[in-house]
Amino acid sequence: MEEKAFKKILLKSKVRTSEEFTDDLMKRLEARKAERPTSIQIMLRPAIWGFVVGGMAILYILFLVPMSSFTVFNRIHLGKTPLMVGLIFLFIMGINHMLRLSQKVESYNQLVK
Amino acid sequence: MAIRDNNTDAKLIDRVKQGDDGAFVDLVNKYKDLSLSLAHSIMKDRDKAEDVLQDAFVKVYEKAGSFKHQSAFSSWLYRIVVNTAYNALKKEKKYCETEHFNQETTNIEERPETDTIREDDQKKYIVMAMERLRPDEALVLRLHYLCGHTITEIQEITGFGISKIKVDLHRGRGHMEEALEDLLGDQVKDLL
Repeated sequence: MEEKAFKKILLKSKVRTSEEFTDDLMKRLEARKAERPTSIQIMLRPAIWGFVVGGMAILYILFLVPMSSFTVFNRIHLGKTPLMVGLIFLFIMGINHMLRLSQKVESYNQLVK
Repeated sequence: MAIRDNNTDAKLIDRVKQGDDGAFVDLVNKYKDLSLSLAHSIMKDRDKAEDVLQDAFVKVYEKAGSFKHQSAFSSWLYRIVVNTAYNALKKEKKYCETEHFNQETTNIEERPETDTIREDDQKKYIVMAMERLRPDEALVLRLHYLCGHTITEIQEITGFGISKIKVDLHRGRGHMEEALEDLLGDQVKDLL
């Protein structure tokens, strides 16, 4: 078979996509975009981890420091145990607040999209 | 014509980088059929080839920012399509089967009953003949004759060596002629 004749045949070997191909593709891309975290979410994740690691480090240091009581503004005297309990409580509240904020951002993004 | 085409593609891909989804749709519509033909050369199944092409276009969309205009957009796109298709084929572990596909399926009774073959049927038989070729041969044949790429461009797209491409082109032509004769007999001349 001659080169020209062969080329003529091969030009007929094109396979056509289904009619909904482009629509399906764009829907798939939209779905992927929705899954992608926003910049606020990306910023919140290290902030939460930083808070957890930093908070735990401070609590650990305070636990190791030898002291019987802690004075605030030269007026309020706190024992080490109530101080630790109070700080752990604040620490858990902080984490809870940040996780809720992260959840709110996520649900807001879903609504916007 | 090719230069104007490259310029149009370059403008479209630049718009895609800026977040213009309409430009991406234009690129998809322009290249989807040729790209599907290439994926079909490797996958040998239209539906699987279409799945592969969906994956490839998602990659193109997400990697558009990394396209540096060092090659034509079509070459870059076809490279992604070919790599995605070969990876999908490897996952299915069907490479060995398709290598023997050629010999195993040459005796299937698909010969048309009428004396002349209609245009639609011609395409069907040509695609069937292409399905009987080895993936590499079918891919190289389509890149050269259907997409109009030179051997150097095919090397850039597929990563095959120049000698392999030349051998695949030569053998592929031979196998294609055999497959067409087997499918159509004397009616091969109706294709011309």
